[in-house]
Amino acid sequence: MRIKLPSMHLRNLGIFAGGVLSGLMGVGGGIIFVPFFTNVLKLPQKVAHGTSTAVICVTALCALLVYVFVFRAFNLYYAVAFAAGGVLGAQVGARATSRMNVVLLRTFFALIVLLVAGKFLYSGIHNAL
Amino acid sequence: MHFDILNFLLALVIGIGVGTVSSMLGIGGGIFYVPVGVLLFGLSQHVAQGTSLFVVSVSSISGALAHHKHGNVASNQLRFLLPFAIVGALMGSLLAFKISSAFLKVGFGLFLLYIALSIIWGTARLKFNQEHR
Repeated sequence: MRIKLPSMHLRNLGIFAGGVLSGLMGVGGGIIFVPFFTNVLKLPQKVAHGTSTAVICVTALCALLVYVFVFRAFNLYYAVAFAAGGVLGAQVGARATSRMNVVLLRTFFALIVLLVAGKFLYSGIHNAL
Repeated sequence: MHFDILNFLLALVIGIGVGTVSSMLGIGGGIFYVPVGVLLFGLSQHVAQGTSLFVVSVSSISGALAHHKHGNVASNQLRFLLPFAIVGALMGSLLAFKISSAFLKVGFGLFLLYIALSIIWGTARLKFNQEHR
């Protein structure tokens, strides 16, 4: 799909910030890329999601190389177990989505993420002091 | 590295759960694997993040191929986007090791807080749209 993107500098800055977040926090960075692609670059939702996933492949792999080969911060057993489970789970999730109350599900997980955020903030601040 | 079959199976089951949930919510699993690694399996913040990146890499490769097949990747833009993304990812991961585990935890907590609020905001909008259709 060919789409013309506006504002080169804004685009470069946003994509750079997503990359930094991915490497710094050990996540994909889709939470930055997807809203950035839809709101700033005006990509349709599906294309934003697809393009974000393609960019995440590359950012996550680059960051992974640094974590593994430069700093040896990696646990192979958990990585394999999580990855195998994750691939299976994604199939289950894709089938179950239409049968769920999405609002209830999202609210429930927002609360869990909030609790985990509190736990990390607490233990981080506690350790830092 | 010590290998414990029970922990491996537990991680596999958790992986299935995280995969299911993140595919339902439409978000990546990274935000779940790091907390599980740290809080449940006692990994250090840095090791949990490295481990999470492996899973994110594997799942995004299969995801990207599927999106590409359906024509949902703006592939003509990737050569402009990727150099900045790559430099960002390399700098971010080098930066992660300049920061102590405690500060990284605080940063991760703030990041999760932002995600929780954005899920709540998205859900409120969804509910509003459902009620005013």
